[in-house]
Amino acid sequence: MRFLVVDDSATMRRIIVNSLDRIGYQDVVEADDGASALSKFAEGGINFIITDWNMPQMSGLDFARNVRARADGASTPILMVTTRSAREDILAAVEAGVNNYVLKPFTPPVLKEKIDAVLSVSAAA
Amino acid sequence: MATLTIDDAIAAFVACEPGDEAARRKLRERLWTLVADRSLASPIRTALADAIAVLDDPAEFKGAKEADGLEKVRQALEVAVDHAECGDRAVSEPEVPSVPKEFVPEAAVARASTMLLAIPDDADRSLIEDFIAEAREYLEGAEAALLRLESAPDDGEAINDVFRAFHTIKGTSSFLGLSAIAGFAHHAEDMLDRVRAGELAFAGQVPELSFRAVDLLKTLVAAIPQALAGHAPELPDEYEPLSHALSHPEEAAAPRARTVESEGGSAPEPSAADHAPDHAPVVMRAGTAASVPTADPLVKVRTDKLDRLVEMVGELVIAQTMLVQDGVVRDASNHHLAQKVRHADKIVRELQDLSLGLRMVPLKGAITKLARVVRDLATRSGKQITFTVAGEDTEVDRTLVDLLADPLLHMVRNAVDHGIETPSERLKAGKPAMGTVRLEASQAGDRVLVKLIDDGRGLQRDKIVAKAIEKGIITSAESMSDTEVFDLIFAPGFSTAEQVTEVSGRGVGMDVVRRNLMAMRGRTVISSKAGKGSVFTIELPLTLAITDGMIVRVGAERFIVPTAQIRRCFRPEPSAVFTAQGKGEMVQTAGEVLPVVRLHRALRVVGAQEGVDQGILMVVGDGNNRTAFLVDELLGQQQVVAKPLGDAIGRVQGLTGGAILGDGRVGLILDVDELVVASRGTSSATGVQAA
Repeated sequence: MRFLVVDDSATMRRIIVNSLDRIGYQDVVEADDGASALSKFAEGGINFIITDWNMPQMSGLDFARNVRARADGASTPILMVTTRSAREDILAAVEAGVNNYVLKPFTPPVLKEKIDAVLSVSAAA
Repeated sequence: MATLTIDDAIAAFVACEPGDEAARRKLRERLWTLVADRSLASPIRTALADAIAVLDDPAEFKGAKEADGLEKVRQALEVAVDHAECGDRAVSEPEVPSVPKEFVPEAAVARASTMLLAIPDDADRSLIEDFIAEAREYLEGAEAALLRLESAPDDGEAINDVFRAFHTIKGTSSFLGLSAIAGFAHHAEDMLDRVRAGELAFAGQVPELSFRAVDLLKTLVAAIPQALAGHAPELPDEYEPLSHALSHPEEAAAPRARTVESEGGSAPEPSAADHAPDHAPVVMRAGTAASVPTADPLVKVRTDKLDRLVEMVGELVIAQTMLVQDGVVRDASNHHLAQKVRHADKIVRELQDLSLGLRMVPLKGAITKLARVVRDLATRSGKQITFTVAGEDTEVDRTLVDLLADPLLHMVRNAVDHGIETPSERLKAGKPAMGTVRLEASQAGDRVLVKLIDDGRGLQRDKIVAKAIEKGIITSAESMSDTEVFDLIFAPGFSTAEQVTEVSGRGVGMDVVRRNLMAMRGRTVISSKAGKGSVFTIELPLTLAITDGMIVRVGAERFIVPTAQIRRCFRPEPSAVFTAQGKGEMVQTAGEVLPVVRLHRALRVVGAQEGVDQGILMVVGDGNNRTAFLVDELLGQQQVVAKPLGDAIGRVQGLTGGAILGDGRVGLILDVDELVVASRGTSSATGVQAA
């Protein structure tokens, strides 16, 4: 299973990649903004996307919309990393096609739980 | 396929026994699935989203609050069920009671008075180091954006930049156990979020609070290494009051805005009025610092008074030197007198340091606006550039800060325009698309170093040579070293002022930049590596009030040469000196050939040594201007206070002024730059003429 981790903060990417490593996922592609993430996604082979919400130029929401607009991106699970959970945020994320989101700070087990939750729902669908 | 219904959610809710976190998480995931189900009516999804928001907030379920948290979830679910049962019927309540928006995770807010570094044992220290570097960059970015907002408070992108800095720092620091930072950044983020949402204008107290928040975060981040070493410092006094002010910016803003209104009467642009536009950004920042309640009281002093004080202290130092060097005192036959003189000497030196310190200001003022220049230039040329600054707190004499503005602007402009490549060129060269320009200021002894480092393509020898030939500065570069070629960019006529004005509005050529720097007894050095980038270094004295001088003898006269301008001194072999066709006298030394200036001829002094090998050659100047001055003898070094020669004498070519030497006599200070230029004008065949 190959992950695409998108975050403009290199430290944050390291944290996510380390967490993924702890829960047994080593195959990770990184991108530091939405545009390069899209081109990495277009190269194919991405099974799961973890993206930051607030990024310069292209926000995580716009990135998610862009992925969903692609023929090969309609069903790729997208997990959003965010720091806030308010009604509007949740609705906006859902509208953009985000499958779930995880609040910072999270521990590797929490990340695993979220990933599993997303995978089980998309498997059921 | 909506296999899940609200009933399933209710079932999951009922299963939530107090303390059962797993059950709550299960409920939350079910709710999420429902929210994502677009077949449900939007009020239902909204209510369910409220329930998720509560469940996602750890603060809602902390200890005794858990029951309250569950009650909030229940209420939200009830609203959802109501909507589901009523269909589209208008509900009596116009809006679903929103979950309180301020869900500041109390857990994340530091309560203790120290840095609170709960770093897990297995934490990756290098990760924290990365965070420190990254946080600094974000804060620099936020600062630059705030400066942009000073002139354009409606710049949405700038607001976003500031918000993102706080946001990212909050998010990342929360992972690293840096709860004091996470908690504070949260308050700052909240305020900016309200600005972003249009709830709060970027006016009144908001800009000031934002600047202070950036400053405080810088302080907190800077304290991490100390905390890592086990000496967690106290939180700054400002921490609590500023956190509070960030959460309630209107409290401070409201009265101020009202005052402006009532006084201004018809003030039609409240945002501009709130904004105190008569203050330059830097001044506003200084005011910010002064308004911190813990700061020491300040007194305003006219700068001319300050200058006079520094000047008089300089005189005192000279008088003291004369006293110490007096034969009677030096004899030391009178032990008591010698002791008293030493005591006075110590006090005078301390007074000198103190008075010079009064005029010292941080370089920040000259540096902060550069961030904006970089940004503007980069945007215009389609380049991506990160601009970072280090050492902006380095202090120099106030008079030098203003004089540094032009040279810095030039250096930065050069780096952005000619140094950093376009993103596509960079990617092709195997570099990241984002270029970096870094400004580093530091103090080395009594000198200040300002370095501008870029990771661009480096200076291109071929292009410089071609342009120099085109401009008629050189005819061929065959025998020139890279350093000599790079130095051509400082030659008169190489760069033109007109290129600069479009950006800065007040530009001068590179030759003028170097001349101004030399007048301040500064120097410029360029180093560059093709494909890797360039480093421009400006070196300046900390102050112009006192000059370190080398006293030299030419004939019967004594002259003072500013030590900073002397590269080295040597006694030449007779065979090393020769006369080149059309270039006058030259000396070969340490692999370079330099023109020789016989000071006694240039200054028309009689009785000096004629044989070059009988005197001392003193190498002065930078780059292509390096020249060897012939003097008879080096007499020693002394700190002098430079004085103009006075109206009666007027300006004399080759001299900048005079100073009283230790023995009470006057020595003349050489204008090294002018002497070099004058010698080129008369002896150089290529004719480097100042424009």
